[in-house]
Amino acid sequence: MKSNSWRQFKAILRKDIVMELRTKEMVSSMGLYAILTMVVYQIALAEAGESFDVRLVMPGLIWVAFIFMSMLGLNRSFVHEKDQGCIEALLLSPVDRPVIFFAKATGNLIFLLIVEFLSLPIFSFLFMQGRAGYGNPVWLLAVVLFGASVGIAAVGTLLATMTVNTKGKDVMLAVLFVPLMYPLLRAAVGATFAAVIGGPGSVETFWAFMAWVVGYDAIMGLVAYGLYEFVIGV
Amino acid sequence: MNEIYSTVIPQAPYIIGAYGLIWVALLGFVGMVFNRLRRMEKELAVLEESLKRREQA
Amino acid sequence: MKRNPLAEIMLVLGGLLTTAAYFMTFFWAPPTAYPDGRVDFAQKIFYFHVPVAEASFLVLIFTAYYGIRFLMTRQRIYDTKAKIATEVALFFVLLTMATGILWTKVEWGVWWQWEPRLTTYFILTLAVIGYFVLRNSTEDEERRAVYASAFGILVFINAPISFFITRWLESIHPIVFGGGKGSGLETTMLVTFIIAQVGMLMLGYAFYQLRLREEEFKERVEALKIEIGG
Repeated sequence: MKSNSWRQFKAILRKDIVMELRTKEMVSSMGLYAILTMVVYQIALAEAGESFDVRLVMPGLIWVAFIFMSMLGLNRSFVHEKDQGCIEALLLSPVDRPVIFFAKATGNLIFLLIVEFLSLPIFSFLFMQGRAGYGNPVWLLAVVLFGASVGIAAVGTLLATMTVNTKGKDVMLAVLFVPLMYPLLRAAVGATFAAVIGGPGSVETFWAFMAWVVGYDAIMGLVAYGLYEFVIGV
Repeated sequence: MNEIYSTVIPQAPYIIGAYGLIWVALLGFVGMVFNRLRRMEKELAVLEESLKRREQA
Repeated sequence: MKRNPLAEIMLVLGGLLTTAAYFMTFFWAPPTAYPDGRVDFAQKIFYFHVPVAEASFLVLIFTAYYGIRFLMTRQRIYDTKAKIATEVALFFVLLTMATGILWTKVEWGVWWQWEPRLTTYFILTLAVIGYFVLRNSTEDEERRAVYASAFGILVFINAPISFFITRWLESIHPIVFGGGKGSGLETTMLVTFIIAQVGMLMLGYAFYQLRLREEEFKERVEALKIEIGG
């Protein structure tokens, strides 16, 4: 039974990855969106001057980019499923419903992380050259990116499954997604800030914020997992 | 004494505003619901009457 | 059509209690003072701001409860009950925001401040509004009920996280209860507050029952129309 679920999980995940490798639609559109956001940031920061410390706003800026980018990707991943009747087929096949949730969330998490880890260096390249560097080891940033993306993927997978069947689709996703994401984003920005600015006590602050991130992931992830069975059936 | 109560007058409009708002909102809600209930009761009576007439006919 | 007289009883009782609390607020409860001895008149907003805020949280419990009941039983009545509970919650949430903003203006000199608790309450407001936007943009009836139940439960789980993050992040919002030394209320103030709170909860219950009755009426009218038309 256990190994059976694992095989189903791998099969759905592989399907998503193969499709993405063939079309490259999600990663390319999310990546382009992230880069376009940075162009907008350039405009936003244009009048701030050279002396302005970008590090002060950088955590917020990257998470704004990531949250909107993730909504784009989440919506994409389910519009496909719906248009091609893939969800119906999955529901007809003897696949356990929790497995569908884990497989879809993992797929979304992987694509999200790929784009995040690509666009963060681009952000540093465009905005942080010749300025003060990172205050703490860069791997701390990787920890936040991973931790918060788990929550985004888990809750986002549930909400996107719902909103793809509503009239507004992507707008609807934003309306539901952003309020629910607030505690996670707040903690993620706090942790990122501690990691970027550094200074005495910043590592402790970082882990305190990470505890919030992990707590959110655990609680909301479990709830999303519990509700998914009901939501995907109708 | 004057010094102690100097805050009351400038703060009063906001307190009155807050309390007035709660009053109006609560009364408005109750009034609205009762109004709709009464209208629906009337509608219900009319419908039931016409149903009865139809059954007799 | 059986009538639930409890709604009217609660409405009258709640009205009496809140009205009593109104008078007690201004004529019985002692005024508080700023550290420099001047009277803190705006503190009077507390007696109604906090009961309404707490009522909004309590009503959200019913949103989640009936959401769960609906998902377990798939009976439409639970979805209707969850919807009405959320409606009452929205009503209280908006009142909380409005009275809170007036208090903020007096005490902090600004209408709005991105202070953690205000921020999270704002987020809650948006989530509750989102609940109704979701309902309105889902066409299929069963789908609408399932989605709304699921989202209602998510909002309910999210609200305490927001609440606790405010106690953790440094907050300049007063913490009246359990905030350590110096917080807490005098007995007369506490009694006034509790009366206002109980009255507000009774009113909330009455609102809920009245709206439920209206919803039942609406269904019967629809059913009768179909019967006559068909």
